[in-house]
Amino acid sequence: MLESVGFTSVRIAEYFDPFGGTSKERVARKYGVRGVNVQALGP
Amino acid sequence: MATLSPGATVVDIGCGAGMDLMLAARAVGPDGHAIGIDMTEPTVERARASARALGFGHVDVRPGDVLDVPVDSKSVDFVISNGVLNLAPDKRQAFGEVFRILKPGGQFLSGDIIVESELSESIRRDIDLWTG
Repeated sequence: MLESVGFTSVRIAEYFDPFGGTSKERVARKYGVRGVNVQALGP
Repeated sequence: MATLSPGATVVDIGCGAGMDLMLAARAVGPDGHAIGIDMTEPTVERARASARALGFGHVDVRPGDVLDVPVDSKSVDFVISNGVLNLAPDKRQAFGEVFRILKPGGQFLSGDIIVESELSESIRRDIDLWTG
């Protein structure tokens, strides 16, 4: 989606586990919810 | 990708009470400019209070919406956002707003949550999955 509005060099710099150890950890795992740090270049 | 550099202009979309905004303000220094955007007046006021407490005269906190960001086009070096854009009802428009305000060569740095596959409508509407 970022590229569709014009961004370039889009990359996921890091994944993290935003729900680990919380009451929603099981749900997050089940549905593939992940944390991401994203970088992209503008115009 | 560069990190926030002294003298740069940075916008934090969905700055909340301003933790990341203050860190960004420290990184760009007094010759830079740190602009926070948040949609609720209480958090805007809290972020402003934090800036005052830290003596950050180069921080500007504005009430606003990610779908209509109150920042001039092509005017900022960095846009940062932490855990906010996943809440935007129209993500394409939100990303379009980020793109609009960045200068040529500007950078977008975001930490957020994603789902790895499309979720069914019944899952999307299950309130128990949304609440903690």
